[in-house]
Amino acid sequence: MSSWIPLQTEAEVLESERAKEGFVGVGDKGPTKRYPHAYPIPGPETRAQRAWPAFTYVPPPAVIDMRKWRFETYGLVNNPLSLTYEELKALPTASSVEDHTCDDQILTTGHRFEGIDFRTIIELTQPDPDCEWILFECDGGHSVSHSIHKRMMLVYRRNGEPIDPSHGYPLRAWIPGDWGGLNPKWVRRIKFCESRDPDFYMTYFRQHGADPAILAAVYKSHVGSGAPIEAINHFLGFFYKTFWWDVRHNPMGARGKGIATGLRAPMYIGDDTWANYKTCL
Amino acid sequence: MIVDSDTTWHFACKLNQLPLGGMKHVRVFDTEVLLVRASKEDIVAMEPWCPHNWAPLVDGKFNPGSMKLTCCEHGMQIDIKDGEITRGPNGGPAGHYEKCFRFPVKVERDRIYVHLKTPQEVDAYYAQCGVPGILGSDALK
Repeated sequence: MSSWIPLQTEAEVLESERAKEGFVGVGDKGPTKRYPHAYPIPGPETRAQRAWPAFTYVPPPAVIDMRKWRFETYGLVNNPLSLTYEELKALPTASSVEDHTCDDQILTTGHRFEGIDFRTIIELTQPDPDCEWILFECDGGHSVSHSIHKRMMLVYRRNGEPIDPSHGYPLRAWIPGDWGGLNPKWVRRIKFCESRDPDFYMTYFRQHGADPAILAAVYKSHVGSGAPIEAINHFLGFFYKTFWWDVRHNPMGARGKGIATGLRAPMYIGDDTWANYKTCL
Repeated sequence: MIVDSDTTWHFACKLNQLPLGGMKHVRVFDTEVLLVRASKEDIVAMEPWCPHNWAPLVDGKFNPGSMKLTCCEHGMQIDIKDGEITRGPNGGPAGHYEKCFRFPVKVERDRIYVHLKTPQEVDAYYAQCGVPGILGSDALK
């Protein structure tokens, strides 16, 4: 267990989850939950639904072989799962209308995500009672670690259609209230860990010299749980300087900079669902 | 990249998730590791990618009798007992490949733990390698 990787007790996680429950209103697309943000977003760009921008912190996987694709759970579980895509879709579904916040600057409202409630997965895999942390491992080398007590959903359908390749087809996770980047796309495996395993974010920023105390403070923060604004701003400032050439809030900003301006999505072998997928970028 | 950690033995997976003669690509703390179960007691943890073209070794074939792992892409054979390359890609000679790295493994109750180097051990390893200098200065060592 690392000295700086922040850990939270179950009570703290549940309390921050409760703090995230915004008002439940009814929009023109159905019941909507809104999550209070830690600080007022300076002019949030609300994008149209069909222009939901897709950003990735790591380059997306180049190819996903759907013939060999399996959703696996392992680690501190008594019944490790290994499901194909069809078996995954046969599990009991849950759906919810959510707003998606990317990087705290871009807000798209009213996505209807359908998928599997994480509690179903927990019932199926039967993790050990002392297991507190999960690590989502994705294709492409990305990984995110979360507390097992958070409200999570594995999503494979959005607005009635399978999710776009640039948004994580065949499977993505939805963890409400957290920054968009902490919702992993192209999820492949879930590890139920003994203690919090460092994910991509912890290793990447730490190896580039980020202060562990600030990183720990930011990790403890959830959108809406009252994290110190200085911690978030420090993190975002550091983050943007590191990734400035990777992440663009304006999709057209990548043009002419030697960065991929086209498809930010993998190719799929053995699956024709998105054979004719084109992005407008 | 090794993140600071207090312990060196990190949880990999449970013993019953690794069948006899089976392989599993597992994430241990911050490192990806291939666990191979050669026999009921012998578990080997090694780098999960082929030294030739970095094909994932979990897709290959493992022969528990001869303790040899065959890569799926070009057929390189790796002896898991010490990580030596016995047969090269596409049936050629083994060539000048380095031994595949193996991690120390220990089994406690029903869990598999893998030893990852602390930053101090990594520094000690690089210290003993020496620092490459300008052309010709290596001969002075």
